Amino acid sequence: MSTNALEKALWLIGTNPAEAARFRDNPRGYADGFRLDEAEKAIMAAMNVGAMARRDANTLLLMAAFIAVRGPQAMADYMQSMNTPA
Amino acid sequence: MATIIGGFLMPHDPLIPSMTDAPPPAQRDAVLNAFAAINQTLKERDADTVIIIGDDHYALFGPHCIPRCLIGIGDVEGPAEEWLGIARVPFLTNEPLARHIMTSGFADGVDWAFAKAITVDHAIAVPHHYAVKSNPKLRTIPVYLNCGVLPVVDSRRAQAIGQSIRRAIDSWPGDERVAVFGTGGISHWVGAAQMGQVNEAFDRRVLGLAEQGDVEALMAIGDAEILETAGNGALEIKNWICAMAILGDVRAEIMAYEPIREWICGCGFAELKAA
Repeated sequence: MSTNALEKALWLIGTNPAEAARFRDNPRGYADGFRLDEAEKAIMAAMNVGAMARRDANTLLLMAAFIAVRGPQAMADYMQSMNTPA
Repeated sequence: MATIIGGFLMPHDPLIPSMTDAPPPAQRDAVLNAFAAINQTLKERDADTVIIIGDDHYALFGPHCIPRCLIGIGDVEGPAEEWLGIARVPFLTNEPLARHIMTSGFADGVDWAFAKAITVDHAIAVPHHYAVKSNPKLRTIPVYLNCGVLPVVDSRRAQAIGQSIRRAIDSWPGDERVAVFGTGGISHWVGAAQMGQVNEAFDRRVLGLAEQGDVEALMAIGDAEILETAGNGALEIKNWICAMAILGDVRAEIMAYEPIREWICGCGFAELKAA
């Protein structure tokens, strides 16, 4: 498990539109580029922010990355994921 | 010696410029009027330099490097975020005083990180937009404390950094007239499951302690308690603690407080006055 690597990926996606575009084009391939275990790659590729938050990923990063990928109009989905129990 | 001509506590909520009309008009106007009053006060007191204390939101600084405290000593522009609805502009800066605060801090035990060219985020840019930018002579020195990424700066360290800044101002041979902004807070949950909640009781407790000038009690509120009861955004009261330490023995006079769900934040304003 690597919260550090999760945060590295989320920071890149959230701060660089080209990285967000790369993620949107191939989420699983993007996740494969980081030192993540299989479960982490799965939740990252699905942009499952609730699951990543439960692994202690910083919520500032989660929101920025989510918006970069899905757009601000999808915030209801973000909140639903954050409030969905494991 | 430079002179401190005022200190203020205020929010830096990015939704204020980006969703200005979302709250009820009375709440919106209370916030905008408080910013305007600060702007006017600085003009009346002939301020020429403002130190704005804010915090990064895990955007300017990434997992590769999280400075505990950083000062902008060179070029400053902002905001970084296009979605704020604020045009990015270069800021007027006071590079000599900023460098003095840094070097004085080094001798004082503060290992500043420093930025020679920085594009500031909303933490600095929102207060600048509403309370600084219209003043053609007012120069900005940005200071970032890490309030956003665990482990955050200790509240007592935030105070010590403020005290070091004060010693630097007092030892500066220039005749600047300096204002201080402590920005951020009060309760809000950024990106968290509770986002949208506001803990008005916590906010009024913080404002009450500031009114009493009880910085010790503010510092005694532990990070775990803040995170649990008021959200990650409330850790930004460390910026307030730093500002209060620059001013010295002060009490806050509350200018406005509004718990604004639409802006997902308890927005508090105060002027710091000699106790």
